[in-house]
Amino acid sequence: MRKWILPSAIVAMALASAGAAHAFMDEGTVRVGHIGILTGPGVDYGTQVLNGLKVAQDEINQAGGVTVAGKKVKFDLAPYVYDSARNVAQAIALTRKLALSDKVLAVFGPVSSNEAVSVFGVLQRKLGDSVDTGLQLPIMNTSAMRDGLGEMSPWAFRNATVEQFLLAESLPKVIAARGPIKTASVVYLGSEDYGPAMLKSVYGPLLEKQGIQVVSADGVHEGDRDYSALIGKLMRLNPDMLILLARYDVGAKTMIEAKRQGFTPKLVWASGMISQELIKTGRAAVEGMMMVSSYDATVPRAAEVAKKFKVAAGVEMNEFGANSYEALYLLKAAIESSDLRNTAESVEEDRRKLQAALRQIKGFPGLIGNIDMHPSVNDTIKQGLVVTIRNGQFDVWKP
Amino acid sequence: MSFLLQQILNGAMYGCTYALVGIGFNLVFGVMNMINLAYGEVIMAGAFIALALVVFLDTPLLLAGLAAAAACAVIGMIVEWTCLRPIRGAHYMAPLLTTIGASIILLEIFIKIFSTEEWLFPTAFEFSQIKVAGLTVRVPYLIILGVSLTLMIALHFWITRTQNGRAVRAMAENVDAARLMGINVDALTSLTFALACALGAIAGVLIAISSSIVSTTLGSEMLLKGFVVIVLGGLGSIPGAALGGVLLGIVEGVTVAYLPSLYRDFFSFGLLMIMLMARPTGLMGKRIAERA
Repeated sequence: MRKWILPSAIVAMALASAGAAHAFMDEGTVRVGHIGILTGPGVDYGTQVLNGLKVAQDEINQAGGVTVAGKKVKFDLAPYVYDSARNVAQAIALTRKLALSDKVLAVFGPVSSNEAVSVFGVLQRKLGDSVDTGLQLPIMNTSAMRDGLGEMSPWAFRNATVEQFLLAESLPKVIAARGPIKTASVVYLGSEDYGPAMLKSVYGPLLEKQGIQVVSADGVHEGDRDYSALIGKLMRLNPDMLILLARYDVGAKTMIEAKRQGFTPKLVWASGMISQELIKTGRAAVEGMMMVSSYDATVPRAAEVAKKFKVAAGVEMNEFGANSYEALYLLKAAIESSDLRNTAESVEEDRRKLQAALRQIKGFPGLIGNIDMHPSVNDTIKQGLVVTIRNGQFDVWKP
Repeated sequence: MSFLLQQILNGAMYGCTYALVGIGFNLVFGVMNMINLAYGEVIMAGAFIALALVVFLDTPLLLAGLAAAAACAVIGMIVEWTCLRPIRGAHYMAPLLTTIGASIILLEIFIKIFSTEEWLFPTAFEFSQIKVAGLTVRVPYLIILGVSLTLMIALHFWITRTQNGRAVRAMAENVDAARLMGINVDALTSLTFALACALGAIAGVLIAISSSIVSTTLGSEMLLKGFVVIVLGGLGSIPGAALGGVLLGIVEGVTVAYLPSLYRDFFSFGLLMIMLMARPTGLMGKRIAERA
């Protein structure tokens, strides 16, 4: 047995280095990576993101691919798709691997806001700063909704539903329709800073402007099963509005217990919960919940993509899938406009060119409307709409 | 006042599941002085086996619960045969490592089958409740209370009044002496493991029907609760574990009701620390001299 170990190792190393030699233009592909959630809590978000990318990749490749240095090459995500399992340390390690070892041109992900804060933190803070040893790698996020992510690094981009840009217009309309609303309670996931950060920077100031007092803010523990005491407390406080800043599973459990105890605030507003899993688990208890979205399945182009998505993924597409689908096309447009060489030697220069091209996105045709890059931060400006859960489906809400 | 009473009642009833978890854990860890860190995943397995039977095969809940208990009893025996029996008498770290290995294997098997998503465990009485003296009692909680009390009494009777129960306690005192007295140590160890894991499975099913949701994270959460419960109640004491579980449930419920929820673990583990300092034997544990 032992005599085979050394020859096997040599063969494996030879095969690995052979793979590295056939790269970039030689292999007829553009190397693009993805850090997803393929296992662990929030896997439904990960499924959406990965499949959105895959559907777009299939379309682009079937149409000939992406033009680089006058040649058509294909996207091939498969070798560079990694699972962070929603683990921050793993997401950072994978980012380094993709940048330094896999030498990808760009990366999609990571999926959760928690991971995104940390991963964006290892990127270079200021372009051209020779003292800053942060990674110089364009990363496009399509699902993290926390405020401020688009300002962290010139290399970190987002084509996501960024509530900080969308709520100012949408939430007051909903409040006016469901009002009068004077008090609100907030429930968030205690193991992540998404909830507290969004409450402090986005929801808090907005609610204050609307004259709404936040009477309680409770973090729940990861994996909590018994929400009876929490809902009992909320019933006692009797807020007009319940705001859920957490994952879909927390939302479903909170609403199931609310239904059990008969807790029915005038408005239940959720952030980051667009997922069919919310409806599947929450059933009747989540009916009427409202949230902001950047995806409208009734728009013909979106519906067409949604059909392909359903075939590929076996589930309905939502905004996370749609954002990811758009993001690969955004990347394609940026690549084609930036004169890349796509070789092993040019990867750092190519990344710089790509970063500059992504900053210039303007009038890009998204699934439900045109997309522009924000003038001062790296977030795309997307159209927002309010959706509600009606008859077991996400439905566009109109005042 | 009625709000406080309601929270105490809810906490006590949900705490009965912690009590069951603690009792199963105590049987192995407290009574037999053996550690089984795969116990948490056995609880998770019980919940998923019952879920599969109810959701996919339309099995009645009672039957599904019994089948889950039986299946987990077998899993418990396999864990004992493979992870503990071969290393009996080895360094105390050895069973920690082997049972952690078993827990990882179990967890991965169930993740492969059921994924990491949360599964709905629907029951006909999910939203049912009754009013008693101005307090609301959820029917799932009543079921938890009834099943838990029955099992606790039965187990207490088994361990204190039956031949096998006495033999288990004798083994805990001195395995070699017990063997010399004609006790079949191997068979009884297997039986105790099977019993503990069956209890764990029932606790898993009760937690599932109470929350309507099952996920693969259940095991790790319950293992931690099990540790807290047996330290609170007293190592080796079945009534102590029952009391510890109920106490933990009440502390958690009342803390969440009056303070920001994230203080919950601060108070439950704070209670644990106080207990360890003030009464290391737990509420109902006995101080015994260590063998030379």
